[in-house]
Amino acid sequence: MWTLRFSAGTLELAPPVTAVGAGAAPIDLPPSWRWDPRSASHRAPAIAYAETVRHLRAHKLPYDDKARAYATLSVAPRVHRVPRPYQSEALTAWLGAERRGVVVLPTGAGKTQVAIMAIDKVQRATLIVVPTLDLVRQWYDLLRAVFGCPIGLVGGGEHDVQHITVTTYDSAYLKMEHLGARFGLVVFDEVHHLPSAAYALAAQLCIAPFRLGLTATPERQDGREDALSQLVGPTVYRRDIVELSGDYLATYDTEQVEVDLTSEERREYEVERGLYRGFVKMMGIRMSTPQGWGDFIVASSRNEDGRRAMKAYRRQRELAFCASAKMDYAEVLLHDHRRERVLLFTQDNATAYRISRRFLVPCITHQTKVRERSDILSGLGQGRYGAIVTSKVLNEGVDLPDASIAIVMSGSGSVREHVQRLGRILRRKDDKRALLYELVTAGTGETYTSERRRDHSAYR
Amino acid sequence: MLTADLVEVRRRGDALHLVAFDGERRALAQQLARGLLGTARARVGYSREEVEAALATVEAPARARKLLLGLRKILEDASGWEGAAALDPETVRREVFERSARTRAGLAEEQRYSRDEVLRESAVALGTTVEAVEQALFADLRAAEVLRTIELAHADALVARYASEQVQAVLLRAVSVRVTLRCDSPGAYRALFQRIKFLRLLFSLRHGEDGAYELEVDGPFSLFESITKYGLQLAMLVPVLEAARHYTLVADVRWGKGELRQALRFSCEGGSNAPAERALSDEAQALLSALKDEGGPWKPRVSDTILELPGVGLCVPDLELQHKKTGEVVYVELMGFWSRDAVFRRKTLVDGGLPARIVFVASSHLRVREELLADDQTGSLYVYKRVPSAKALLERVTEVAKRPGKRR
Repeated sequence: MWTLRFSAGTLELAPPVTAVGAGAAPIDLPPSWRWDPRSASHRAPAIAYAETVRHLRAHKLPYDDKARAYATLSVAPRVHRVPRPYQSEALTAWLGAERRGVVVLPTGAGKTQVAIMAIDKVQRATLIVVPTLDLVRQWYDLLRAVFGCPIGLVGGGEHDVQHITVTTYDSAYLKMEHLGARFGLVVFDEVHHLPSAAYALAAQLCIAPFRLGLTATPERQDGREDALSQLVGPTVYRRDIVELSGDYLATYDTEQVEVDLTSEERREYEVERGLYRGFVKMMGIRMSTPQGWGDFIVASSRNEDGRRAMKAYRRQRELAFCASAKMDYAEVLLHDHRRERVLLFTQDNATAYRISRRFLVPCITHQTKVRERSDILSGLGQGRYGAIVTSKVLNEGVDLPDASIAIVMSGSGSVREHVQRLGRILRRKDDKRALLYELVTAGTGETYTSERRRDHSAYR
Repeated sequence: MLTADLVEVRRRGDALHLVAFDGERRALAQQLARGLLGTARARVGYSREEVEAALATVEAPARARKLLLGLRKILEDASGWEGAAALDPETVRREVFERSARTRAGLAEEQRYSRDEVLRESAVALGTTVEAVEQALFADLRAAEVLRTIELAHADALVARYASEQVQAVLLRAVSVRVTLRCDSPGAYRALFQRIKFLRLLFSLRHGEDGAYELEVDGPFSLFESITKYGLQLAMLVPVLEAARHYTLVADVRWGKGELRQALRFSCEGGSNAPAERALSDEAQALLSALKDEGGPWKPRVSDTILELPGVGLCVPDLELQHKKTGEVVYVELMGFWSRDAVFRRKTLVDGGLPARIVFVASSHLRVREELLADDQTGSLYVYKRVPSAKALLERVTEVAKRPGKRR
């Protein structure tokens, strides 16, 4: 009998125990398998587990499955929520696709509920992979409340593996070679992160036959979303913001507010931008091409002119992102919405801290420790805080049902980021009407950035 | 650790080389290192922002800009930083921000929010001044940390670390590494191999030319895809190799950014014959302790021997047990858990007449039977299920010692 084992993120299929040396034994295997002379066994990436088991069964090859180390669960939700029709449809579609695939639903539509329904249906040890520690905390709290069983945590200084465990993409990359056999279902939250080279490896190092990806926006700027089909499965269900707005998400408005630079700021802006643009032109760099930014970084590091150009680039950007008129208008908005929950978003941490210091509102960045983040987020829910400012760490996933006002002080040209920021205030609550302000400095590069990020049906 | 963008490399075809770091360039590095260290020493007690601003005043010729930034990064990494505020920033923030939120929410339409008023009231509540509150508000941010200690005592130490970290920074992008090693004595080899084992690197070892040893390192997944996942482990190899008299290293690396990353071959050499620390894996250390606890006629210790059968191969035992009365020695090697093939290579060694008595300790995970080595051979295989038992191993050692055959 052949022996199938999990070994450091790979599968080994070894011939029967022998006492007479090791050599390649002939066996018909799927194409992902190769003979590995280092260990005298056939070897495949762990992701080939389901395909391999099907193959061995179909060919009636006797084997001892020592790879599978995941448990069959008997958990049932203690909290019963009637699923929304689209959540049930999403689950049905996923089950019908051999329990593999991606569900695309807008932020606030309850993707987490689809995952809970999948765990309940599949009843296999489950790993939930999320992009940030804030989301680890949020999933942990929710799963513990729903299933009432111990929930494991891996990442952020924790290493406690349970039948249902939450981890980050970073930790999954680091630990999957050890954990990869212990879960039958893997849920990839914000699955658009997965196709990056390192994270994709984490998906290849685990044997889980059942895989569920969740996202509001699977598309990536680098176009690598096609890899999801191999790593998780095809897109099995998709609904857009505009399809669910009103019925299942809060209704919302978006308002773009243009502000002007002061005459002093304008003078400085033009000087700095001129320096930066002049350098880029002189070097023949086309910033609109995908390699433009990289070329600029390389060229700017070569000499004093380049370093000055980089400094000028940063300064003109800072002037546009943090124009004094924006700060003044933010003060007006904070007053207008002083009894609502407000999220302020910035492009960079320095601006976030500047806003925090000026308006005395809590700030969450990557430097904010988990305990304090947790306190700030619960403080917003309880009303201890009326507003919080953040750069990018709250762009994704974090549940902020009480927030109804978003003020985008600055941001990138990413459509995904802008849609996600809107999504933070769309979770439906009573008759809440959400409102997103986007402050843009007129006559600067920011107007173009704003046009690019608003290229989505949610803003039409 | 030095990052890839601070490494000074040159590409020639498919080859990647470090820019030569000797003569004039090393002298320049010494000069810059002295300048940086002097500046940093004068700023002990200052904030990171201030220290960084001061270090930025140390200038270098345009051609040495990357060298300067690299030395600065290493110096900052090797310094001790601490938070500075007398008040706990988190407590201050909570008081100020909650008070601010209450104040703002309580305003009537025509009233205006006063930041100064919130800070004044917060200072009273905290029993301190407005200035102290302002100062403490974000005093725990990285930029506000205060320089307390500088680990590197001399410019020489900073320059030496720079040279070593350049290689490490390249190896972070390595998919596999081959090393040719030369040490002055078997003991030095032994200590070095022990340290490599301690790093849990997966390697195979061959006897090369002129008494050198050749080492190949990569991981199981490399069969399917060249990945840099093992890069950190490979980078940690460098300080270990420096203990050799001389080494040459050839690595396959993925160099460049994102999609533009290219497969290149990197080579370098080094080694300073610095004294190598003796190190054991956790498993070997645990077994050694357990053997000592068992007591009896055998005295266990860390082995400093390399067992070699010319033309066939070698092995590096972890432990040796010496009989207290007869002085006879039996070696013990822990086989780890990943390479079944390694066990078969040991069998080849014993079959070929390895001139020593040895017990190989292998996990049942490797799917090998103890019968792989016959009862009359000088080597024996002990297969354990979860953790090797000291008692069972001692029985095996005693039994092997009684077998006929050549003794070392």
